[in-house]
Amino acid sequence: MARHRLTLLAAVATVSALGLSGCSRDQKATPPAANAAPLPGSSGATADLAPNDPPGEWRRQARDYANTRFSPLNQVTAANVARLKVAWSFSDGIAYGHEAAPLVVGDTMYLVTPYPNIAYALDLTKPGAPIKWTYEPHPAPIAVGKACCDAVNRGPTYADGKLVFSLLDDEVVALDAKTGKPAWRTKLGEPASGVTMTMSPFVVGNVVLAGNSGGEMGVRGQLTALDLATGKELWRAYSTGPDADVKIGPGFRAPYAWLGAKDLGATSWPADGWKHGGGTVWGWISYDPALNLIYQGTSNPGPRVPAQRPGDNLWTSAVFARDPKSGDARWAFQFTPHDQWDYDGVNENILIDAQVQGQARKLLVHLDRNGFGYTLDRATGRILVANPYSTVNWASRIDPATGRPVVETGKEAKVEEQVKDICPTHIGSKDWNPAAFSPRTGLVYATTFNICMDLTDHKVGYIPGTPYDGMDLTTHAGAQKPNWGAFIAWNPLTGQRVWEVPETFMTMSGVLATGGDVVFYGTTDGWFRAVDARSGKVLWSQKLSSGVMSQPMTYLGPDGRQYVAVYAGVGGVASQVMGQKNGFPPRGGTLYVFSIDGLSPSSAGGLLTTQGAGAPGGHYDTPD
Amino acid sequence: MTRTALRLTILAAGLALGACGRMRGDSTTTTEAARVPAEQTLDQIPLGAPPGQPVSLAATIANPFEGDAAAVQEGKRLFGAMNCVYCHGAQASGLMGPSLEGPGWRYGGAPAEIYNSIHDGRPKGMPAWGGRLPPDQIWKLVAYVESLGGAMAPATPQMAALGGPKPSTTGPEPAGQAQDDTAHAALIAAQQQARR
Repeated sequence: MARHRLTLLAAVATVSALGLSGCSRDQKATPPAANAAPLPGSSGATADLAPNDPPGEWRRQARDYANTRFSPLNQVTAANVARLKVAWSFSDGIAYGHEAAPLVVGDTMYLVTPYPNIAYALDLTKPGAPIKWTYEPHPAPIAVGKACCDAVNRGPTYADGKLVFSLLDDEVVALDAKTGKPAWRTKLGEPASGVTMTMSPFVVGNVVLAGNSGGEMGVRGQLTALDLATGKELWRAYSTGPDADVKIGPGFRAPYAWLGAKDLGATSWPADGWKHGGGTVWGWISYDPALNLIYQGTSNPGPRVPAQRPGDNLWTSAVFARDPKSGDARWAFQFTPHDQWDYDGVNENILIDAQVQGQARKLLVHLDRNGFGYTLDRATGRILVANPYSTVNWASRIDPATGRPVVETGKEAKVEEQVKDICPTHIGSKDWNPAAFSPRTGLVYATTFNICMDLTDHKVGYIPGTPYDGMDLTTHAGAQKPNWGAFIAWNPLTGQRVWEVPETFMTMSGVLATGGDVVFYGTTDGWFRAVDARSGKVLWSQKLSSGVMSQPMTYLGPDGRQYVAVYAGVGGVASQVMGQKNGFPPRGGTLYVFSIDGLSPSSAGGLLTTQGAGAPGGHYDTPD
Repeated sequence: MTRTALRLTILAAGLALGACGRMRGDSTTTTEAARVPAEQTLDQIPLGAPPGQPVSLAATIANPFEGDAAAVQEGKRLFGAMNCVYCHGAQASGLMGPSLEGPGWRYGGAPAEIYNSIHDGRPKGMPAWGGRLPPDQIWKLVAYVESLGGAMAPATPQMAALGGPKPSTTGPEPAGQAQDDTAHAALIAAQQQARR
């Protein structure tokens, strides 16, 4: 009790000092190296947390280049996480699925909503975090009906004083983060043709990397590099077509022989099939500063009916390693050749380092939609580990000699004939919902699906601006009935699940790992949970106003407190797959910000502070 | 016959042959590919662009194929062949695009209002099929949508059905509206006549 009062006093003192000490928290934070050191019992894997942003900040969706989603903050621990309470919240009134994390840079939080992609800057120094500025980009509404899986947005990134994000109508915009005024806005395609953009742009130096969406619309996948200062196009690399278009040249080294022939992006298709062949780039990008390589996945091929596109359909459902300056591909690997089940390869590539058989190796961990958890050598693209992390029956194993899956013929898609119980379903054992990695435990944490499908294919014609689809499917829970989801810890060096938390509803949120050894995730039925990073014990759960399919993050407030933030607001493919299930929550986007005991500059033990009339951002009445 | 009309006729003929077999439950045969609209044909349909001329038929106009079971079947076939199914869902209960089962019609649920939506396209992604599909095929698509049970009676425009003000029946028609409606009705009648 006495301790509790002391905390309150400290809070009041901090609030009163706010005007003077906006930058004080960087000094208060423990250096990240100490907070990221491996614990006893770690798997042995670590990560480079470059660019080593201030520990209290969150400047890009994955926080660091390696895509760990690990924050060194450690005020919130297993001992006190059960005291998390809502400090403040923010509703944006938008009903599309919320898939983004907020950013915190300095004393400002930045949010970008789903369509219509409104950007907000919130002032964290003031009670209730009032709006500093708002930017409404008014993207073309036609894009809403071209987005396969809801009018979502996966969040902004911050670089060099700019807030950079995508608009649903295939545009990228950069705002002056201080004023919210656009610095530039670049249109990359015409949404009437079916192309959209939902991914979070990724910035390396002066290069903004942005890929397109529309793998279900016959869109040809591409990654475009823009100049951070001007928005001008620097290069464009396609996922299909001749080597010149794909940016495969003399510097390319195929990890396996079958990936080494010339122009495979065109020759592994029926004539001209690659022109509407998908391979869109709507997932995550990571970056290794030492190798100077970016890693980007590609989506499913189009049409989704494999009978219409005999061949491996390169480079769809694959991963590229590219030079960020030139776009040139250094290697590429296809997870699912001739993808028959919609197993996009866009999921995050987490860059970790470990000793393997006495040698220091630079690795890439990728939990693919196809159900296999891959650990690759990120310098070469060759496989070290490929094991199922969930129920998989479309392939028995990955052939270590070639990297190719050994496909079960009984689970191959058929035209006008239903194939029952294919696992995983079309959205995979895990979709874009990004996993986290803790350098303290050496484990990867992921929200996964336990969903299978009965699939019938129908041949389709390509009509621009309409779906180039053909998959007719129904879903059901897989082997772990009745659970549709699970939160798992994965050892990326052995390819084994360490523990799991089963969930009745599918789990499709990003994961946050922290230096306090607490990991966070959400469920599509609206639970936000904190779990012990070592044991998997659920330490705290809070039911929110809608399902969670966004990305939790954490930051240090101007008052020196650690906050944990997450958007509720279900939608997206989760609503398409589970929306009819009894108990599935309604839509609606609200950001929740938690702190120990709910304390923040705007509260004291849950009571409103009385700072007098005219406090910026709202009015406050004294209780008496 | 203008060149455009000729091309449309050829296209429509191709579509009639080219629909996929999903609705009929055909088994897979070597002729399956032949039933799919040829890519080089469909590729020429510039969908998604703003429509040329909106028709804006009055909501009181009835579907000339009302109660025609063959038209419903043909509409269902077109619903698959034109890829409508992957937007609006296998049961038309909504997926990327909205449900067509009603009652929450954004742009009206009377047959002519549904016709207008198919013909003109709608701002949030619905392609404009007017000028790409002939009127009788659009009406058959409307017939299929009506068969789902959620459409409204021709005399029940959206606003009135939802308890709002009824559209003025005494005010001036929009310029050219009456002529458009009359001309359209005559066109449909002529087509039906030709069919018989």
